[in-house]
Amino acid sequence: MTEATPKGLRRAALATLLLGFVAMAAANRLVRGAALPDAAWTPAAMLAGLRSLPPAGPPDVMGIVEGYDDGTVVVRSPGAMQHIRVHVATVIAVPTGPATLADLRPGTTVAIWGRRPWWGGSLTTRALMVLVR
Amino acid sequence: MTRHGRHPDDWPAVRAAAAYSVFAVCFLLYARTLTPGLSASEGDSHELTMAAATLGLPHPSGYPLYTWLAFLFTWFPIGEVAYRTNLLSATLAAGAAGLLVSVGGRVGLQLAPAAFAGLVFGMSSTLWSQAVITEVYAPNAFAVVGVLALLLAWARDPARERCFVAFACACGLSLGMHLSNLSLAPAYALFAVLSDKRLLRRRRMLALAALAFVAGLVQFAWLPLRAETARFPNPAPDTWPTFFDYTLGWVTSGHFTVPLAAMPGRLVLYQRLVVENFTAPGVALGCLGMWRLAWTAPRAFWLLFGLYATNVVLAARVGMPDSEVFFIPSHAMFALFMAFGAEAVAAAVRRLHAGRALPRTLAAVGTAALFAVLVPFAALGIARADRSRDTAVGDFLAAALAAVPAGSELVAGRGAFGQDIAYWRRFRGGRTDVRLASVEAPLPASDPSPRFVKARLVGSRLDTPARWGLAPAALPPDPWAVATVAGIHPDLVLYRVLTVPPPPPDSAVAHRLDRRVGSDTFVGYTLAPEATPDRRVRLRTVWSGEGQTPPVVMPRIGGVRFAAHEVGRGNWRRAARDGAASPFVEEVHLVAPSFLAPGPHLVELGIVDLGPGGPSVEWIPLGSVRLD
Repeated sequence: MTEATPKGLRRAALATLLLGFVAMAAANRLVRGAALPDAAWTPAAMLAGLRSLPPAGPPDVMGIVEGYDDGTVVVRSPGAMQHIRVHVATVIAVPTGPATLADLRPGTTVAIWGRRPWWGGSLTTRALMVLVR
Repeated sequence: MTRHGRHPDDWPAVRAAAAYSVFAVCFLLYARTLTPGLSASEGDSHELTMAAATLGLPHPSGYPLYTWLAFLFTWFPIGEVAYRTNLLSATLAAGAAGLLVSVGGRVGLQLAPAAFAGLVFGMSSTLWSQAVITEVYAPNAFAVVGVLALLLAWARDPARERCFVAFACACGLSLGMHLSNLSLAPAYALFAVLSDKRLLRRRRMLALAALAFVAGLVQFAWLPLRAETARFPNPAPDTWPTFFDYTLGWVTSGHFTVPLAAMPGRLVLYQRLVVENFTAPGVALGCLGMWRLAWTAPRAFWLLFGLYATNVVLAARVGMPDSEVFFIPSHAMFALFMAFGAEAVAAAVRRLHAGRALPRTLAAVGTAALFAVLVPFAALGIARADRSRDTAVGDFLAAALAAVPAGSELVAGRGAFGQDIAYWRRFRGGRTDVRLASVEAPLPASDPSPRFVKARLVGSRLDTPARWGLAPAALPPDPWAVATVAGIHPDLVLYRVLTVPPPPPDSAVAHRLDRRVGSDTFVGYTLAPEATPDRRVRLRTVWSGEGQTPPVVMPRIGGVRFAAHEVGRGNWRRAARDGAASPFVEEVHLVAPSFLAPGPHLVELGIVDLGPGGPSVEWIPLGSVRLD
């Protein structure tokens, strides 16, 4: 690429980039802890918008419970196109109230918030919500 | 010229060799993990395969160029038809990675970072997931990178009209891969104007380019020509309004449905996706590379960042469950940013060395380290994307079509989700004596022919016709659905449809257990010692219990798990509601995967306890079954 570019082009590029970084940071800030009315806690709303939900932004994984191991459920995510093995830490809610692990029946749709290691390995669940039973 | 005073194409043969090497590495990885037939995870791919093989119309926007290329691949004398269309994805995804090496050179990257960018993009998880199945997204990555390469080729010497005209034609053609490529036009236009200040005055070239672009679009005349092959629920694109709905109207109304208010959440999802694709250190390197590019080559920055930002913003507005695939073009740009980041690190090391040339050993070690990090990256990619044992759909269809009696009617989705059965009957199985309600007119519900349905069960009822496209007239109201053949995924279940409750099956068992499962009892089971020639393993389990909530079980054959399900697959709850007497008998043929070697294999039944401490599974060995 030629370097014979006006200074304004470079300044605009750097300013745009800075703006992009700020927008990404702001998005993180905005979704943190934001709550939605109960009506939004439906799979349709989630799939359409993947809106902010407790405890921290949109869920990392949404999928259907397809199998089990000792202490874990196997969730099939349509987006990831693979079975995602998650460790059940907390089942926080069904749309109408608190839930228990017994709500994780096969075929239920769940939203999972978790922590993925920096190298992109398996998700460790921090919270899980049953959306459809 | 580059900032180092020499052009990256000084050694075009070396750069071409690097690009071909990247192509070869990526292609080998994809070939190693390629789906051998119909994919179990992506319903649209069945429809795209059928459309390619029959030169029909897939769902909107019709994808004419994709369909034609896939049609050519269906003639390869290797594997089954679905494997050949999967191979198209692998070939063009690897082509996109190889072409990115050339693009990297044209935006000023040295050879090693450019090759790094190609490999990183080729091994990114989202592209890889699409490179091993029949879908439009991997081929579209090739189209996007190809158009970019042509634009950059013209920018090297803006006097060359032919390059610009070729770029414009490629732009039009690329819309036949995915119409969303139209959104990249502003970034191309800005770069073109920045590259040639007199561009807007070059009327002849612009007129030729406009003609070339329109020539690329002529492919969409294919839609009205093949309108009769459009499938449920899409109207045939044979009038101007339906043509618009099938193309631009569908893209604008059907894709970008996420409201602007939800964009912050979507951008957070994107951030997680990019970490998943490139790891956290890779993302940091990419951000550094963006900064370096903006500082050292602002014109290239406006092109790459323009494409990147446009794609991220628009893909974030896509309201589909698999919306991550729409980010693939931005991943290509991000891989280039990572390569610029690597160059920034090298430049920093050079500065630490007081501007003197780095010792050759140090430079070689740095380059080797750059590529060494790709080895675990590739290993992770293989673990994530391997579909080489994804035979579930073919195994299930072979067994299900063999199991239904002559003269039966088979009801499946009429749209994209019913194309697996249509494909199987046309290219693999025959069974023309079985009526397909998804292809032919369904029999009236009162017809006494045996009727089967392939669908997902929700609770005790078949899923709604609207979602899966089951022909409403083909099914009686609120039918009884009795599972007869089951594959390893929950969608792969064949139900016998009855208008009245099924007669109680034989509850005699060869092996009596009387094992307590919560408030119910696993009375016993009968397992046939030989599987059928089409690998159906016949298992009857008998249960007793009065509870409304059935036990959860999970079969396993030769170590391969089937999806967990509630005993009775809906009918336990229904029988309990209707006050039917215990015991409850489940008699299902389980389809053993074709990748299991012939010979004896252990059959087990996992009984799942969803207790307060989390799920636990008790595996009960049922016996051995011999597979042919």
